Amino acid sequence: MKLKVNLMSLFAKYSKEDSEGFTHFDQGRTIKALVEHLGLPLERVKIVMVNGQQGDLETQLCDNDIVYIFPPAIGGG
Amino acid sequence: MGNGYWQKTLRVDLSTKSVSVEPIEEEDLKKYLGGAALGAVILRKELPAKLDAYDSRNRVIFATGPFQGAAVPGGAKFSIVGISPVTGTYADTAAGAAWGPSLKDAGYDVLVVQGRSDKPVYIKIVDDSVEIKDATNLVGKDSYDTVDAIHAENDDPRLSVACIGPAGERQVAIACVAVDKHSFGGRCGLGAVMGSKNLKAVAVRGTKNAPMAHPEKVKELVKTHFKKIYDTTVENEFRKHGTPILCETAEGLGDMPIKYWEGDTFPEGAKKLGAPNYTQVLNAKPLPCKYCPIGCHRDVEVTSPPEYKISGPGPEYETLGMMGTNCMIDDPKAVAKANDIANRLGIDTISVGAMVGFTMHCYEKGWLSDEQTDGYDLTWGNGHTLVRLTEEIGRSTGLGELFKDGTLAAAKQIHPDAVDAVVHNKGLDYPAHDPRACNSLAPTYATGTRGACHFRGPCEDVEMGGFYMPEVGIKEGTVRFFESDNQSLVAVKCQDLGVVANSIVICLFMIDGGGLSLTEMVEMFNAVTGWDFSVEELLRTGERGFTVQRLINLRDGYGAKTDVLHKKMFQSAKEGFRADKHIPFDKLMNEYYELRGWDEDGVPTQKTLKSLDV
Repeated sequence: MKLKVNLMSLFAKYSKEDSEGFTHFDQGRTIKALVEHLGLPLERVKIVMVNGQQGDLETQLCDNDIVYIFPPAIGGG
Repeated sequence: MGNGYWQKTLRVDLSTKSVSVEPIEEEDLKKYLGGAALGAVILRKELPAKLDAYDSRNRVIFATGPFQGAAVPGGAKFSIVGISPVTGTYADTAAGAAWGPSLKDAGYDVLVVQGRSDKPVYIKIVDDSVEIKDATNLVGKDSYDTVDAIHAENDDPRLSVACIGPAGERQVAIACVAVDKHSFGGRCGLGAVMGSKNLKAVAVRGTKNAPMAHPEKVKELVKTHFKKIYDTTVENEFRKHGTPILCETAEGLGDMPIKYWEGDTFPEGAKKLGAPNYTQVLNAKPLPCKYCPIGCHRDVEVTSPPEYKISGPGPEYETLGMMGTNCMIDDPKAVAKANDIANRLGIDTISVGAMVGFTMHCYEKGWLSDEQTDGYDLTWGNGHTLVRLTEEIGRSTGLGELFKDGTLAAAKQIHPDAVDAVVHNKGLDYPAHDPRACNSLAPTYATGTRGACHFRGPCEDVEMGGFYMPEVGIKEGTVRFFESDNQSLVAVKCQDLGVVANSIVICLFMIDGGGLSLTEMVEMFNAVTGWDFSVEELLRTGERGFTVQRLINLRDGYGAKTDVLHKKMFQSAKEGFRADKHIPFDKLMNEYYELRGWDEDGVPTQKTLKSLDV
């Protein structure tokens, strides 16, 4: 499937998006599978948004979904 | 056998030039720990209600806890407590560097300063020697030059120096206390209180070791946890990037202040201000406090353009939020320069950012006259305006003079409609976190005993996945964005943790980012003190301290009517993560009051006070 995946902050370096800004992903249908596909450290994935709604590792993905994955907040002081 | 305390308060009266040492009962330490909670007890006992902050009877209380003599990771912090000129009630602020351990090594847990000197002075403490020294030649010096001058005058570079800059001397209400050119007790204007007492600085050095209950066990735990925190923050890159690591996450979740709380998103600004761009553009490196495995403070160097040239402590996340995105400024060099000016003049960078953003907001609204604006370009995003106005606020000149007594006082001079536009609680400008994103901040800001504060209850970092407290039932998934379940519980527990951290005293980043668990923190506490506290019992002392602070708020005229959010917090976003979301404020507050055991006026019930033994 083709997704718009926004990897925030220090996660940006894990991006596998193409020249048009899309991520192609056929290894599963969940956020967890996407995280593993991208090589993100699973234990550091705490906040996920899919199409503007808060999701989690088990959230199911569909073609053209807009996904945001954030590292945990550190440094709020 | 020791307990990490000397059980001694050093009291200096600047009016009578008298110095005395008083005992502290162990029972009071078990109830209040030290730091901010013990400071609150002293304020409540010794001061009348509604005391003007500049009344000579006001106290400036420098208070440590059991950790300052134990080389515990994050244990270089100490609390400063007094009645705030910004809020007119209880305030505490914390700083790091090396001052807290130095006071402890000199043989005291607490320093209480009262009265007013008839001429500028500083206090010098070296073990049993306590001197009130002439500070005439320090007048007008900035907070960095003051440290150098005191070191030179005493030929003693090992003195740790907590001082004020020109802003504190002029009683600019947001004046901070600057420590060792490194760390800043920023919020609530206790630097202005020092200025009102003609107290330029307190310099301290000690050669003693506070006796601990189980020194060998402490040594072992310190070694273990220091390594664990270091490894954790190397892995999560907190050490490499410091608090700017938060910018993009906070902005993406709608937590970062934008356009004086009127904007919804500013992703390009957060990206430029935050890590990794910050680290690269400002040549930033860790600047650790004593005993710190993280080094979240930044040592930065900017060589060009010439007007932004600096070398020294760089801006934190809070400053990037308030001076940066809050003002629609995306240039980290401009923020770094303004931050440096604020540090040297000795003013709170959070409130400065609020004031600059507020000024731009007033200009946009047409509330500032051409005569008042004095040739400024007050359009959003102008970094040069930020730098110039920061200098003027710190020196109380030009347009900055409007802000001498705080943002609310400035608003009254600017325009009748401007007063309601000031985003504050108890007069204290909101810091760089938005309750519309992290709803647990709503009751936290509304009830903050020093006004709106995110770090006397770091609940936003729980919501954003930064840390949890499984020992008291707060785990991953306990709260979810925009769902009210458990939000007030998280607010309460985080506030209690905030009081504990500022009382024992430990930097919250050891837990929040560093991965130290509450269980591990309590284990170190018990090894130092020889007491046998559980996590719940330690948090209960935090609740007790919070309650004493609340009682001071109440007698100073605050209560349910001021347990409110600013009206902008009820405007939902049009775009971004928090689009169309609303804070269920009444529900959260009802739950909060119930959890606290307060009546409908926000007053702790007799049953609550009795159960807490207050």
